[in-house]
Amino acid sequence: MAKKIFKFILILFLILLLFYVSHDSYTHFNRLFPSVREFKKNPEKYNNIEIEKVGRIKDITEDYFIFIVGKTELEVKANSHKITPVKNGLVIVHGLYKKEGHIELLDVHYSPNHYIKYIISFMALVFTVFYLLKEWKITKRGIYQNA
Amino acid sequence: MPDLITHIIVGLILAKLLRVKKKSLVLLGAILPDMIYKLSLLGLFFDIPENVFIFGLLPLHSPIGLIITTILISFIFKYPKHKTISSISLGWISHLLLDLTNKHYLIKQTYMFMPLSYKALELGWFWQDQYYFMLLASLAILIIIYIFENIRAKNSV
Repeated sequence: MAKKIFKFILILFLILLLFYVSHDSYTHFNRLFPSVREFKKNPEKYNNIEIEKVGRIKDITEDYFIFIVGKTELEVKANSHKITPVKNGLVIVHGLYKKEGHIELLDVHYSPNHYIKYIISFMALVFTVFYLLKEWKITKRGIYQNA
Repeated sequence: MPDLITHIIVGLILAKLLRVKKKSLVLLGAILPDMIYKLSLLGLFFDIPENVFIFGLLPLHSPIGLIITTILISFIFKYPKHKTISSISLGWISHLLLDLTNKHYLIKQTYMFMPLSYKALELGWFWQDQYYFMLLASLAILIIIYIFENIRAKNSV
């Protein structure tokens, strides 16, 4: 009985510790790198904050392009960088939030055919599950070794 | 930034070299850092608060979060605790070491001493789309190990 109580307290402590670390990480980084949503709500507050965002390119003109992060669209001033469309991929934008409500581009990295990586990684996940099921037997009371 | 296949291959290589009995635990450990943390990728396609996912889940890609997760997982496995924990840990240690080669502008993924220090360790060798370098290298090593094992098995007969 005492062993079960100790185990319960330990699990509870570990879960709380995980939540604490997670919250600490979020508050630390959110202060340094505000989200695009927060920026769009109040651009003046975040003027000249350096950011790195991963997203997709929508429209490209000579001076700027539309950058999509999640469902949020933002204007990115290209600053003499030549912007090209990315096939099946993403771009990593390094820039500055500007009080006018756009991002000023410092640098950009293209990641074409990025989704192939996700497909490969999904295959890896399936392989691991198969390997686990080969060595282990899942029961209601826990995971036991296969005989 | 290596993909999950590379992490698994490296996990397999280590499990073979160190003669780990339950290789699947090493593989589980090898994909563990990305399993939950990569939920943050949903922020690329859906209207979710991206920073909550990216930074809230970041500890699960660091030693502190992984130690906690490993201990929690070890309660599920009916197998000697020290073996379960050491095998899973071997997997995620290899994952974090491989991820040191990642390249980012600002937001890194290898905060080894979080939450005591938020200083990231990163060698800055590969962008996330250059995963094939590591994939091919690790695959070559695994094939060499398999060939070597086959030769040794034939010689011992």
